[in-house]
Amino acid sequence: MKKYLTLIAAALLLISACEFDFTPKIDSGPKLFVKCVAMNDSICAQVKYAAPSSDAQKIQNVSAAHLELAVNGQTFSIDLDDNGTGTAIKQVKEGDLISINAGMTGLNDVYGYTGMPGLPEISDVKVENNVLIDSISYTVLHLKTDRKPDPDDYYAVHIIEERTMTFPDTLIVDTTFVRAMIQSGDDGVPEFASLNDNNGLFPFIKAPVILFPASAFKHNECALSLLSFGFIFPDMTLRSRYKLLVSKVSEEFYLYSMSLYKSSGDILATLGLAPPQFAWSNIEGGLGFCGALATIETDWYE
Amino acid sequence: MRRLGEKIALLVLLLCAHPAFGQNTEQNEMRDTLEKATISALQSDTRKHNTTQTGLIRLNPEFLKSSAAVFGAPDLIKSLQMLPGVAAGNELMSGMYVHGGDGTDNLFLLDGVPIYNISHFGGLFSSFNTDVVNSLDFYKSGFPARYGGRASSVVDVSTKEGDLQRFHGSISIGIADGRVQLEGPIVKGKTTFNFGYRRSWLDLITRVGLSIANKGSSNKVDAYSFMQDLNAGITHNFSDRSKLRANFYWGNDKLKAGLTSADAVSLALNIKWGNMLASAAWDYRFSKNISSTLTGYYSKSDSDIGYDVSLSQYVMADDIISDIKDLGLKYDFSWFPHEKHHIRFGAEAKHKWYDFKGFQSGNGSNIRMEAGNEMALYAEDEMFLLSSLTLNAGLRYSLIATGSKLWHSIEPRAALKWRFSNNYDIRASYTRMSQNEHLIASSYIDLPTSCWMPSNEEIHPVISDQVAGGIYMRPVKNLRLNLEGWYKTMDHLLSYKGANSLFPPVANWEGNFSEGKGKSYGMEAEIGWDAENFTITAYYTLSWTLRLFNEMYPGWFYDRNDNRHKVNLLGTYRVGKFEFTANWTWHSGNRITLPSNVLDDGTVLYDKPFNSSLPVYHRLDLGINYKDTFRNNSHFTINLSVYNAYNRKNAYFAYLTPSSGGKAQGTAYSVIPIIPTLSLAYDF
Repeated sequence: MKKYLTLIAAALLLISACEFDFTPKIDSGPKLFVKCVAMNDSICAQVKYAAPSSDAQKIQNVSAAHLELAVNGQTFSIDLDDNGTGTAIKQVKEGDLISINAGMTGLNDVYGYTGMPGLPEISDVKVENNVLIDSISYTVLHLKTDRKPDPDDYYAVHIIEERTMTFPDTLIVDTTFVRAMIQSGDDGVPEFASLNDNNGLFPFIKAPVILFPASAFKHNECALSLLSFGFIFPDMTLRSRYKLLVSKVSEEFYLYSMSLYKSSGDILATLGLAPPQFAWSNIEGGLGFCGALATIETDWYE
Repeated sequence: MRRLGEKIALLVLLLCAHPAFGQNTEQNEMRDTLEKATISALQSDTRKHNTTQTGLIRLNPEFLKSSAAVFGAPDLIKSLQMLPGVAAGNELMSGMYVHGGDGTDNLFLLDGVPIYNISHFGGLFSSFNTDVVNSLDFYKSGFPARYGGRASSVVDVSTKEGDLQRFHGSISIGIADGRVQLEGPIVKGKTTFNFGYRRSWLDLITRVGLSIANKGSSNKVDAYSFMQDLNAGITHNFSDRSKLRANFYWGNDKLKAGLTSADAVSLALNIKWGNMLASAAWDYRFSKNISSTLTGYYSKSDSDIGYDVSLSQYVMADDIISDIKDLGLKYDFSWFPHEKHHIRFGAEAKHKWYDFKGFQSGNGSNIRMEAGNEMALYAEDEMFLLSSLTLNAGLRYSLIATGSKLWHSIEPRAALKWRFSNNYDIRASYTRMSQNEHLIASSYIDLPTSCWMPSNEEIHPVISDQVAGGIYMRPVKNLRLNLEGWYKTMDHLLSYKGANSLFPPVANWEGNFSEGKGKSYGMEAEIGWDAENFTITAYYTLSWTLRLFNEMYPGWFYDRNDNRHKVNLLGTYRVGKFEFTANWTWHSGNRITLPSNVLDDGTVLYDKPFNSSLPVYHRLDLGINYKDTFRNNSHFTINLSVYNAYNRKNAYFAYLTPSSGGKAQGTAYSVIPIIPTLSLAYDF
């Protein structure tokens, strides 16, 4: 009986599952892709040729592209390497307006701007360890500020974990947790993005990062939970300590990061069964983003 | 080509509004209709056959039963999907995107009561049992003032009242479901009942299959799903002036999947969702010229998604529960003050509950409970201005109170008909509609994870404005020719922008939706030939549907259901005891979003939404009915249906695959093959 059922199921699968190729007509053209991230002491920029996906052969070298940056209207040029990337050493302070202008023969000039946020005011970090069940634990990091953050602020927190296990030898492992989450906010859990690496957003470090709005703070405290898997054996000692890179990011930085986060792995949208993926952009005439972040590094906490 | 099409659509609109078409007039039509309507005010509104409205299609049960019998089960929504101006969305689902609507903006009324969950099995079957349906009025434009609350269409379904003289019924058995319908007198000539029940039995197949598979295994798998619904109605005639109707509908779906292993691990998923409607309507005729209907109703749509996980001594269980409930009262009047006026007026008041409780995460609240009150007043006058000119002018005022927010809406409605000969008329209409409720869903799939929420301080009701016009002709006795055009705008549309998840974040839903605009325009053509033994109808739609959501893209873009061309051919041929039906549908592919650009490192970028299309969609459905009658006048029908008769591989979804040559290559998947089904029906 089982054999017949298997045969029937296989026959049904053969009839129904059908993959075929087609040539889509895509409404798109070549554009400049610009990524500009301003930090307290430097501005990183990247210019790329974004070929239409209907004909990726048309990718062109961007060495001929020109790029102009400005801080509060004072312009300066930046040299791009072969990858179209360049860094300008420049002190940027809270409230400064950073703008970018780029162009390339045959393509539209593109333009974008952002405002520099102030440094985050983290006064204390408390670590709370919990065990959920045998192999699953979660750690809560309580971030405290001196005053309630401005509702229009956005944050990015890189979490660097150093886990020391002694069983029977000492082993040090970095960042074992699988996902960082926001626990609560003034009006419930706000929308946040949890990325296991940078997605190329942050020029200075590769580590798990969580982005969230100021509404994740309940009064002046924000609780981040880190979910970890790992067996704890009877003779084993385990010690974790954490260091955070806390950034206040511009709204443009936050919106672009969130759109990348939402579109990554959105299977339903990829299959056309959910609203479409889109990358937020503040680059007029092109693609990409211009954003800013101000970062502080905390001590180690355990 | 696109400009030419736009010009044609514009020309149709202008043509429809041009007064030079007037020729002969029909003096008696209005008086005949008026007399009939006055005489049988409590029976049926015969003037619907000679409507002033544009965009109205009346379907009868025979049409519903003879078309689109997927799995041998006639389906009301699938029948509507074949009509011009309606895009169906995903194949085999219950999507209805009317004149560029977003699919959540159709008002479904069952005996005058709003019904929210219109499908079973995630859209495979509609919630309407065609065995008990008496008639269906489907409005795409020219909405009379008595309807309100949705932005794009009205589907007004009325069920049978039951036979006052004779007991009869039917039993039907299909490959996927079984149905029974009974009607007859309780007190002959006075009181009657109508009853319908249907249930799917795919779960019997899966249960038998799994019990065989589980035999001898330490791990037991249990999975099944079924749907059922029940319609019941009682009508009592107190006199020829007074009648009371009580109707009840209950329908639900259940899906269960579970695993139990020998080492004390068990996983269970239980999903159930459905509707319950109850109403009582009292029809009373005050005089020859005034009649009224007082209706009280309760409508509830709910869902419950539960999981239960046991891992050794650890047990985790939770539920997502959501529901929407209406408790309403409405009073509708029909008044003929003068032979040239038919005035309808009325009021409706309802209290609504919107409740949601999601899975708990962290310390955050995941509960949202809202309540609101809605009130509407309307008046419309069907005026016979000249013997050939009819105007239906109306106004609807609605007041919506949710929390501390009050929303007012004044909605003018007007429809004009100029009959310039017995067989030719032109019509034009303008309507404004508003919609207070929003479906909170993160995908286009009809899932019980979605729920309804009302407008509030942050979210504005949807407003639609539509002008439509058409020419309606019967140049010879058997030939029907209709041409209709429309232009529609929609404000305050919502589009989900939250993180990808089958579970939309309802507790703080406002921040997860973008607000935008929409517009749609196009033309529909119908040509049909009705003969004694056969009927053939061809529909063609040429349309454009666009959206503007600045958060997604800084300009207008085509909507997902922007099917530029749509053709439907429907044919029925009767010979002896056989009836042959054929439905062929063809339309431009649904639009999809593919990466617009690619960087040198292979990174793909998205820009304009819905920037490409799936391949064209087409399929042929065939059916054969064999009908025979027994001596006692009962008869049986054997139906053989073939869905997608030539096994067309229609793309259900697609994605872009990199190609070595650099040229884009799309890969598409089709999931619905040829589906032959057999069903039997016995009418007694």
